[in-house]
Amino acid sequence: MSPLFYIIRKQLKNIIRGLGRKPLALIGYILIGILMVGFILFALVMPSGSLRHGSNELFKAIFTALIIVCLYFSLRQGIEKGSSYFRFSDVNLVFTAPVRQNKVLLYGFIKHMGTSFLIVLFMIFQIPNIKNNFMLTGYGVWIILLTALLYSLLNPIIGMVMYIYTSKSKAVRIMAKRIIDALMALAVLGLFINIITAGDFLNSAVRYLNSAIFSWLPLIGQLVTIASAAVYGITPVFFLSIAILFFIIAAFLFILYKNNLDYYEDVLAATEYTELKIKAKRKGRDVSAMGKKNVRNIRSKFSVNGAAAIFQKQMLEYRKASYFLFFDKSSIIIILAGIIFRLFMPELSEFKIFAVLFFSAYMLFFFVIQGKWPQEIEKPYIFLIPEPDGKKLLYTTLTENIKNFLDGILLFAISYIFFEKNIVVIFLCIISYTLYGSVYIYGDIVSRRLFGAVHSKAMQIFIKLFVSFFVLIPGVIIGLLAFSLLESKEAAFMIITLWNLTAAALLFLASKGVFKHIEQE
Amino acid sequence: MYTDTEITTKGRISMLIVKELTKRYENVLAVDNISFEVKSGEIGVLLGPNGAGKSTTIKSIAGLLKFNGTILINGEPNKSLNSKKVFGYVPETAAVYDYLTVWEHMEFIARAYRLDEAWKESAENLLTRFDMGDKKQMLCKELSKGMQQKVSICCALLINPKMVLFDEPMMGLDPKAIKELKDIFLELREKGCAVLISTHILDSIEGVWDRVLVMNKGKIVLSRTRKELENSSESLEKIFFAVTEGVI
Repeated sequence: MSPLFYIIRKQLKNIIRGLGRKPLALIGYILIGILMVGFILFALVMPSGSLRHGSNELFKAIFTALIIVCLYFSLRQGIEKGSSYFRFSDVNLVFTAPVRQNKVLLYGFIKHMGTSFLIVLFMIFQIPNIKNNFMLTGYGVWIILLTALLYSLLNPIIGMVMYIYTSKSKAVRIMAKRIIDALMALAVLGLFINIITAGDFLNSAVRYLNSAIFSWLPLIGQLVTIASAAVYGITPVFFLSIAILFFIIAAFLFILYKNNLDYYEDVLAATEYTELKIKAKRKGRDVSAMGKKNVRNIRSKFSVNGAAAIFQKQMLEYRKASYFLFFDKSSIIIILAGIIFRLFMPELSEFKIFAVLFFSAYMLFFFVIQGKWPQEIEKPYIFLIPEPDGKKLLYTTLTENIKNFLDGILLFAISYIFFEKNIVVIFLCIISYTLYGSVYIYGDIVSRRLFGAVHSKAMQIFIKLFVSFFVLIPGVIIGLLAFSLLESKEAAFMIITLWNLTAAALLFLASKGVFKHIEQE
Repeated sequence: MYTDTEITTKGRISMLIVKELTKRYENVLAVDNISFEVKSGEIGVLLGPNGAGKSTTIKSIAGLLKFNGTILINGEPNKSLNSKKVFGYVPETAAVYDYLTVWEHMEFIARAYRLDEAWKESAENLLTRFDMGDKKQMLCKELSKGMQQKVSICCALLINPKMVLFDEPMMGLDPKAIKELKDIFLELREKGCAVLISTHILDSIEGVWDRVLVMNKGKIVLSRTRKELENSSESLEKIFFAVTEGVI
């Protein structure tokens, strides 16, 4: 085991040493660290349920839904690609070394503990939000962190076990996928039947997700029981669930250890996928897009010249990769997130359209930073094409702006149908939403110009988030102030729209000449 | 505009002038104050071990990086529109768009560079030469790495450039494509095009180069024309190891 511990120890040492050589990055990580610790302390001392008092049933329902969805994707991914704790360097150096395979498995597991720890750290950011809305017990924060830790430990093991048992033949794989899909469909169907018969979305969903049947399901039942102790308090069932979960983990590890010692082959494909994911993350891209198999068979001729050809190229790419024109997975997620956020915030009646706009705009940030513009500067063509920088910038970002506008129309048309009948407000929300997108795009460009190549992708995202929100927050504050003083939604949204328009225009102007000042990624 | 010194006695102009180029990545000095020229109708080769600064030099010339110093292409700064119109660039790793077909790449480049209608014939010829004629309607994400590299090469050559920058162009190519590319180097030279190739494989440029620039640790440690080398009766390999490792 000592050579494997040597790798772990040395890698950790080198990461820390590497940071020492890059003081700016080190400062960034220290800031993030302080923020994390601050969040933990804040989460521990802040009062619970101060903003509103969500019921314990709602808490349990949210965690049940979350765990079901996460497990569903874990199982699906396990069948398709397996799961791996390993990197290609391990495949090439450790797998081929004269080290027993069970020790290699243990090495992988220890390595994965580091990743699990990071996932738990990121959960910390959500805790103040949970504490604001629910009455947690004194140790509730630790219970949520424990649930996250247990799930992140369990996740790759499930993937590996699923892969080992289903990778033997295509027929088995298809059958397993169908069974999992059918179970998921059954769960969703149950939810719909409950909602339709009761006619009340929130209450019937909560009632359904609190059903005893979910407590009896393996993994789901235990994880939900553990998470629920954050609001219900610790009971003997809590300890029983932890014991069962550890037993399951041990059983899965035993299966991996005993039954399939020749797991290297099974892990290869999964490692390849892990590498792809890491590559995608480093580029700030959505990993699912990298393995996308279904491209619509659309052929189109270019009809414009110069920089406009970039726009036409992107349109063609969108048409091939989207469900319909610009409507793709990101549209669905943003629209669903906006609507669900509003459904779970029923008592904020006066603010519901604000909530939809701000929450969808927040979600939009993460899609914009993975959008067409960042992808375009990974290729040399945008730098090489002999057209003025301003024109290239305009046409490179045009598709993204149009997409945001169309997504905005869809999102706020639904909002109009369900809860906001003021057409002026709806119109202003669409424009505002589009302009939020523009601020993110041109804010990203200005950040690149100002800060250049930043050490890590996470740091880049942090800087962009900071720049964008620094620019946008005053508009939000003034808008909300105007609403409370004038009691006019039209005035509030007009202020937000004008603020965003000014910010987007100024950032666009500051972005001109960008190709002389930034570097290909 | 060219000065008299930039036009040689044979009437060949210095298509690429690099003066005091320096490029630093945070704490690493990748390129250290280098100067050189490549004339029209000349094949220059940047040769050097891994990490010598060849790719950084090529990328700086292509305008993909920020740098200190002066780079002129056809007498104009490398980031100006006029210089961009006349040079092509083949990156180290194929630069293709996943969701565009091979032919759509050709069409995109032709439109973006405002080429006249003759581009279609040029594109057909290039794709045929690289055995890609039957793959025109394939998405680039479906192609192998080598085929993607061929698409990259075709994109760079389609604009009928006066200068082409090749960064490790042979990587991933099959023997036939390598031979074809070598023929293309010679044809470009015949047409008066300036060619700059970066490579660390001596054999890959054997018989095609006119001027060799050996780089090591960010500096040009040797600059020789083919004639100078032939007169010295030393082999390129021997000189390369002598200047990069001090081995004779």
